[in-house]
Parts: sequence; structure tokens; C-alpha cells
Amino acid sequence: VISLERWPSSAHHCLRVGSLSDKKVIEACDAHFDVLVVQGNLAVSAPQGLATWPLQKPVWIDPITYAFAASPAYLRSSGKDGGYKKTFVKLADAFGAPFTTALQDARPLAPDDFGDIPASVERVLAWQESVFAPPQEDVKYGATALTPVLLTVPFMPLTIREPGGTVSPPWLSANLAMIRAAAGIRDPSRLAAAFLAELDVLDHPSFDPWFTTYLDVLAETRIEHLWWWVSDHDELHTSLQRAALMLESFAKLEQCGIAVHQAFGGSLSSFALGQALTSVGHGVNYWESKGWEPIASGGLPTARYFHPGLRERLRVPEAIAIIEHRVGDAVEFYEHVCACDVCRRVVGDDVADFGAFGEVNIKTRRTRGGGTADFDSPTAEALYLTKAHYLHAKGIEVALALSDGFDAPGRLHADAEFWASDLTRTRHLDRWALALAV
Amino acid sequence: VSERSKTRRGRGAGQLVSGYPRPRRLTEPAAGARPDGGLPDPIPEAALYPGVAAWLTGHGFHCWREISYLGRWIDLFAEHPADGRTVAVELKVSDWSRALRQAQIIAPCAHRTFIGLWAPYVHRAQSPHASGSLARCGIGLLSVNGQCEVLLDAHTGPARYGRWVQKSPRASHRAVS
Repeated sequence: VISLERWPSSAHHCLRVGSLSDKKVIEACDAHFDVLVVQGNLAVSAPQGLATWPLQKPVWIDPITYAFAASPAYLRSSGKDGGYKKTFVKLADAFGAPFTTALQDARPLAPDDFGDIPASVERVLAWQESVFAPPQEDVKYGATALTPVLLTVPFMPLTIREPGGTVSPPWLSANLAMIRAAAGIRDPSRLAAAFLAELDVLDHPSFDPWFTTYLDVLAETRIEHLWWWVSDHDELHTSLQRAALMLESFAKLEQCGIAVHQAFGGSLSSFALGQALTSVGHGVNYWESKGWEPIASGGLPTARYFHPGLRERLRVPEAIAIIEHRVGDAVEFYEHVCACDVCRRVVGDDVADFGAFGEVNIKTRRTRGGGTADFDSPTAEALYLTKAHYLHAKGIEVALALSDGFDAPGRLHADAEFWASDLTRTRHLDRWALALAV
Repeated sequence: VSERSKTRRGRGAGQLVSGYPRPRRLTEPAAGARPDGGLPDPIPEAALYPGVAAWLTGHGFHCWREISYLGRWIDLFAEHPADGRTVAVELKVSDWSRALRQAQIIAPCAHRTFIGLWAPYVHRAQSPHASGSLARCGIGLLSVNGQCEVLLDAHTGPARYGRWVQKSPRASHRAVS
């Protein structure tokens, strides 16, 4: 990854990584995103792996300070001893008190814990500046520290504690104080603030005044970048009201000269790039929506195919049934479904080869009762193909959204009409079109 | 449930993996929407398998139970040893619409695809709406109790994705010669 101390004007597409397991596919698809966003726990556990990664992309760190506001149960390993995961202990050590004391006391961090906000903010910012510093023995050979493209001001989740009341989210004041403190100790043009809110906050009657307070503080501190993250806001299932409010908020921020970066976004956010959004971020075929709690979730990986017309990740047999309904051969596949390099390589001139995206291995495992049970899991090749296709398709989507004269609502309505069937849901496309047309 | 039967652990817990349940009520006939005494309580889905497997093997097919197609599990899949014709069947005791959705998803891997319902509930799949949906999708309808009766034949498709079905070398039910 490369050092850059200013947001590149041509950067609109962020790829979020929480582990290095997808290194190979990211390298193969590096033409399809602009900035690598690294989760703080990865940065602290593999700093040299990241710093020496031969990927020509600027890096941006999410310090995941919010993790310490969650129940400590989420920060523990699933092993027998149940101790804290090493990465969270390392992060807390880097951030100092009150992060360390909250861990020691086995309780979530609270706003009142911050006795000296400027000192805490300084430690979080300084950690981002130094985490990718080369080992001392390499400095004499000319190795230099890698600088993140922006420094993220520590942030905590806005939640509602009193339904219907006008009591502000508990972390609101502390977040604003951290933004002010950061602007006092660093050049504001190097900083990015973050607005992390639960859906309850977005739906709350007092959302507007709380949001306006954020806007005022950003204007006052001259911070030009904001990470937007509404926890668990799934764009596929969102309401028209929520979608419209999100886009309206982007527009308000843009009018104040603030570049808005969607932390975890889907295709609605991609299309908002043609309006007031500066960049959209997501993971490698995951994280189009993410909750701030739990901090990490696991489970068996699934090979899902991102359908570029429906703009939804589908299980492969479902994708096949949907495609089979409208597409007769490979030529039509490329015309109506996807013509990215990955799909061309997989499908070739036989549309039935599309099944390679969903190939599985049948395995048998022992069960607790002493018996066995069959299960299937995607082959490594199928996982690679679905991820590579996802990155290609998302790159194409972002380029389309930013192209001159692109009519997002028109395209979404047309896709909804083309793909409507017993097997598909297309209401989200029409809903997005309405929200984008407001 | 027969004594020989064993239930699956893990994925699909409760599904029978050997033997089949044989509830006495299995052989109850179709009697419309309002039979005397009301509709019978549902029986285990696995009780429907032997009847359908017998129908398929009687027509010269080898039959596999619960096989994987790109991560989905097909209730019954049959292949004719002579000409390679294939049939996929999704079984449900009463929920025709769920069976239809599952059948639509697996249809690209078989020449003909059916849903099979327990006979006392099969009238639900014969309403104008349900019949129209089945016909439009080219999915056939089987009425299953002790026997298996074809109430609506399935359209024949190209089975373009048939090679992605992972059959074990040994069929669970062999064709009746």
C-alpha cells in the first residue's frame, strides 16, 4: 500500500478488509477500487504485512474505537480460557486509558470515562500515524513509515436510551468533543470524523437537530471528511423514508463542503456517488451493511453471486434459476447479466458453466452424539470466483454511477421491469429509484 | 415411525437418514378442502419418499435421496440409466407454494421437476391460482400417500445444469427391471 496525505479527488470506491485471507483476490482485482480501508484490529495485528503489501493503493484506518463501547463479551475469544482477543488488548494498550481500564473492569466504555479527551484523541491519532512504521533495523535501509490518507477521529455509537424522548444519545457530546479536540491537535484537512448511529437514531423525531449539531461542529472545526455509518442499515430492505433521509443527509453535508464516505454501503450508495456521496465502501463480497455490535461474526463462508441487474447477492442455484428464466445463451448472458472479465472466463460460450460459481465439496463431520452428518461447503475456487466477480461488478457499478448523463432511476426501473418474476424481488430497485429521484 | 429408522444429526436435524417413518395415516386419500372430521394432522415429510421413489423406480429410474446441487439439497433425484433423462422432486406435506419455489430453483438441473404433496392436502395445489402457477412454471404435481399419482405433468426442459448435481455412485433406490 502507498503513503498519501490527501484524499485523491478521483477516489470514490473503498474496499474494507478485516483480515488478510482475501489478499490474493484483492491483488487480482486492484483496478476495481481506489482506497483500502483497514479495520483497526487487522492494522494492529499485521502492521508489517500491510505496510509491505505491494498494492498501489492509499490506506485508511478505521480505529474501531466503538468496539470498546460494546459488551466486553464481544471482545473475548471463543477459546476455553475466554480471555480478551489479543488484537483488542493491543488496541487498548495503544489507545491507553480509559480503553484499558474498561477492559480491566470488564465493562463497556462509557462517556464519563473520558477524563482527558484531548489526550485520548491524541493517542488514537498518533497510533494511526505510527502503526505502519517500519522496524528500527529497516530504517537505515531507507524504509519509511506509511501514512494513512486520512486520520480517523475516534468515534462511538449513537444509540437511543429513552424512546420518544428528546434526551440526546449518550455518546453525542463525547463524539463532538473528540472532533473538536482532534481539530485542535492536527491539521483539520488531515482528519475524518465519523457519524455512527443506530437505526433508532435515524428514525428518531430528534434526528434532525442531532445531525445539525454534528454539521455545525464539522463546519466550526473545518473538518472536510465524514464517515457515514448507520448501523445495520441494509439498503436491500430499507424503507423509502430511510433511503431518502440518508440521501438528504448526504446532500446537506455536501452543501457544507463536507465529503461524505459511506462506510458500509450497497448499490444505492454506489448510485448516490452521482449525487452527493464522495465514496462508497464495502468488503470483499460482504459488509454492504454492518452492525457495530457484535464486533465480529463468524460462520461458514458462502459463495454468493452478485447479480448486477438485481444488485443483490444470491445463492448460486437461485441466481441460475433467475438467469435461466430470462437468458437463453452466453451472448444474452453477457448482454443482460454481466460481461465482466470473471464472468467471461467462467461462462465462456456455455452458460451452464456458470455453475462453477457455486461448486461445493460434500464433507462429513462428526456430531456431538457420536454420529456423522453431511454438509457442503464452497470450493476454494468458487469462493475466489464469486469474490472476484463481486469486485469487478462493483467497480463497473461505481464507474457507471459516475459516468456523464447516467440516469440511475431510469436504469433501476428498467432492471426491475426486466427481472421481475416469481423468483425475484425487485421492489428495492424501484424504491431506490424513487429515493434517488427526490 | 419404524424401529429401524434413524434421524439425522447436524444439518437437517430430525430428517430420517435410514429407513422411513410409516405412519398409519400415510395412506389417507385426498378428500378435498372440507373432509368429514377435518384435515388430518400432518405426517413427517420423509414418509412421502418411498411412494415417490417406488413410482420412479417403477418407470425404470435410479433414484437418489437428498443430493447436493450447488449447495442446495434436492429431496429426490432420479436418472434413467438408458437415456439419461432426469427427474427432480421436492416433497412437502402441505405447503405447495414453498415446494414450488424450491422446485423452481432446482428445475434447471433436471429434465422434469415435480412437487409432491401428501394426498389429503393436495387440493391446495389444485386451486386455480396454484394450478396456474405450476403450469406457468412448468412444474408437475404429484399426489402422494401409499401410492404416487401424477395430477399435473411437468414440462420437459433442457437440464442444462444437470452436471452440477453431485450423485453418489450408488443410488438409494434402484430401477425395477
